[in-house]
Amino acid sequence: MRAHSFAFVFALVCSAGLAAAAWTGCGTEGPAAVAEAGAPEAGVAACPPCVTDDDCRGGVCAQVGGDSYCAPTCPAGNECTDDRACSPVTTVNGAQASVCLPRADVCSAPPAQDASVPIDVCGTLVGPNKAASCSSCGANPCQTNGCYGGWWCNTATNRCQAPPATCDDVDAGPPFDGGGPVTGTIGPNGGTLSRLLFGIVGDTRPANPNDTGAYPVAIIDAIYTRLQGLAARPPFVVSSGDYNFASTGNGEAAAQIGLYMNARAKYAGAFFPAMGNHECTGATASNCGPGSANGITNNYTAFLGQMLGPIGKTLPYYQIDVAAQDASWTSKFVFVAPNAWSDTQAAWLETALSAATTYTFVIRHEPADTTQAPGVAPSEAIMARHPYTLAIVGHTHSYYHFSGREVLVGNGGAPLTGSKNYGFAVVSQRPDRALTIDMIDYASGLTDSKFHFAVKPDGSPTL
Amino acid sequence: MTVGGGWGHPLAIGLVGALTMFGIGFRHASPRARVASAAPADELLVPHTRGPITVDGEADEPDWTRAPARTGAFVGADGRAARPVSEARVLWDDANLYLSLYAADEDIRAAKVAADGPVWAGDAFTVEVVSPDGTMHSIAVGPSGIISDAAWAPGRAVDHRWQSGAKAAIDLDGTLDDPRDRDEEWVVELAIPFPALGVAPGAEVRLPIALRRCDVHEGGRRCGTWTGHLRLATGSPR
Repeated sequence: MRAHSFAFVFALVCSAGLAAAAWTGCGTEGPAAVAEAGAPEAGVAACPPCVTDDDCRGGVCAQVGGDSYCAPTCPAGNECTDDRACSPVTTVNGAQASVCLPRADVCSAPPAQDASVPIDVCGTLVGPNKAASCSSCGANPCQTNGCYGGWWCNTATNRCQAPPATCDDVDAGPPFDGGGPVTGTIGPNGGTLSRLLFGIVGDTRPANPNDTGAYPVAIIDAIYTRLQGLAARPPFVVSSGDYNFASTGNGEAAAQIGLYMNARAKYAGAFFPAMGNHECTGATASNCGPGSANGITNNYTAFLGQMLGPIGKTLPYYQIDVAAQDASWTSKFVFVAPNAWSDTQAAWLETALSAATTYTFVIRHEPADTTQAPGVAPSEAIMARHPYTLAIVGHTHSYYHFSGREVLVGNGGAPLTGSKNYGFAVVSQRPDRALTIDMIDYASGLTDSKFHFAVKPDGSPTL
Repeated sequence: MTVGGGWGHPLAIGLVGALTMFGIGFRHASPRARVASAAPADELLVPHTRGPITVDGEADEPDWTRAPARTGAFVGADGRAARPVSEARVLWDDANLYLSLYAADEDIRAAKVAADGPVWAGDAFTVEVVSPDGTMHSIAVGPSGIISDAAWAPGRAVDHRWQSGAKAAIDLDGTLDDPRDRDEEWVVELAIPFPALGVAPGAEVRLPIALRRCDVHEGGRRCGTWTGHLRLATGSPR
C-alpha cells in the first residue's frame, strides 16, 4: 500500500517538476545507482538515497532520519524551496553542513523487520558476504551483497546503507529445556536445592501514570502462568523492579502492585523483588526512604508492604542465600535498591559481597550505564571490588546481554522499547556448574537463540 | 515551491493509504460520504473532558485515566504490533482536541530543526486529520516539542505556512540525543484547537485521522501507525 501510494505521488512530483530535479532523479540520470528499481518512488524523488557525496550530483550525502539521503546545500540559509527547510545535518563523512530537507516526512521508512532471519541478516539489511539485490558498486570492488566498502544492502529498497550497530531481531529457538525437576525448599531467606534454577522477570507497568485500567495484566498473567507450567519449574523468581506507574500521592501504586501480586500468585514458587525507580517517585534520579531526598512515597510504601512484606523484609535492599542440598555449591542473591540509596545500604552491600560463595547474583533495577539513579555508580564501585557471577538489571523494556556480566531483563509487560517480545529469563545450572541463561517468549514459549549464553561461576563466558 | 497533489501529496500518503487499506473509501466520495461509509470498528468514541487539561506533558489529569479513547498499540508495515511500542489516548473539550501520544524508546533522538522544519528527521509523531470540508492537516512533533504543521485542500498546493495553533508539551524519561545510555519513553501531550481543523465546538463530527510514530535508531528508522475515525461524544459527561 505504501509503495502504491508513493508511486502515485512520484508521478505527480515529477510531472510538476521539482526545482532541484538534477538530483531528485525526476527525468534525469539521477543519483548514482544506489537507488534501484522497486524503491518507493516518492521517497527516492524527494530523498535520493546515497552512500557518498559522489552519489548526489552537487548536493551532499546527509545522515537524516537513520539513513543517508542526498540534499542540496544551503550555506546562506535562504536557498531552499518553500517545501524544504534549511537544517543542520551531519554528512556521511562526519562533517557538519546545512542542507534543504523536505519539511514533510516524504523519505520512506523501511518496513518492519522480519522476526526470524539468518545470522548475517538484520531485518531487511543483508551483510557484505551474503548475496542480495543491490548493485551500487560502480567502479569500486563489489561485495557479494552488491555494495562496497562494508555497506549492507537494504533489500526493501535495494540500496546500500550503514551496517546495523545492533540487531534487535529474535532468532526463535526450541522450547525451554531446563533439565530435570529440581527438589528442595525455598523460603523467605532462601533455602537449599538439588540444582540452581530460577526465573527472572522485569518491568511491568502501564505506559502512563495512574493508568491502572491499562495495567498489563494479561501479559504478566501469561508470564507467571508459563513459569508455573514449565516442566522444570524454577523454585523461585527474582524480579528487576518497576511494578507500577503512579503518582506518589494517590493509591494507584497500591492498586497496580496488587494486580501484579495477583498475577504472581499464578506461580507457586517463591518471589523476590528488587525495587525500581517507579517504587520511589518514578524519576530515575529519585531517592526514597527515611531521610532521603524524596522520603516515603506511597509507591515506596506499597512496594515494601505488598511485595516485601510477604517475605518478611523491611528494607528495600536484602539478601537471600541458596545452597546445594549436598553442600557442593553456595549462592547469594543480593538485592540492591539504587533508588533508596544511603550510606547504610553501601556498607551493607560491601559486607554482603565480602562473603565468599560459589555464585553471587546482584539484582538491581538500573543498568550500570544509568548513572542518574543515585545508587548505580556507588554500587558498581562496590561490586568492582568483589567477585560476582551476574548483575541482573531491568529498567529498559527489552532484554539484552552485552559483553560482561550484566544481563538486562525488562520485558515483563511494560511498553517494549525494542523489537523483542515480552517474556522472562531462566537461569539453569549445568552439571559442570556453569549457568545457562535463556529468554522465553511469553506467548510462544520458545527461547531466543540469539540471547542464549552461558557463564562460569565467576561470570566469565563459556560455551 | 510546493507540489499540488491533492490526495496524492506525500503528506496524504499515510492517511489515504492506510485508510484505503482498512477499507475506508476516500478518493471517490465527498468527505461526508466517506465518513458515512466507514466501518464502526475503526471508530474511537472520544469523551469530553470533565475537568481542565493542562498541556504540560504529564497527562496526569483524571480524564486521561477515567475513560479516554485509546488507540491501542500502533501497528507496523507488516501488520504486527509495531516496535517500539507507541499508542495514543484522545479527549476533547469545547476548545481543543487533546492527544496523549506515548512512545517507548531506548534512544530518544530529536531533529535539530526550527518550527515547521523537518521534524521527521528525528523521532516523531505525525497526526493527520481530515476536516469535514476535506481539508487535510498534518501536525508533526518530536521529543523536543518542535511542531511542524501543514494543510492543503484537495487539488491545492500544500501550505506549509499554515499554523495549527497546536500546543505540545513533552515528558521525557531518558536523555535526549545521548546514545550512551538507555532511555525509557517520551510522551507528547498535544492540544489542537478545533478552529484549526474546521470543526465547530460541540458539533457532532467524525474525523478521519491517522497517527504515525517513527523511531530513528542505529539501524535505521521504523514506524507504526493507527488509522481510523474519531467521533466526538457530545453526549458524554461534562
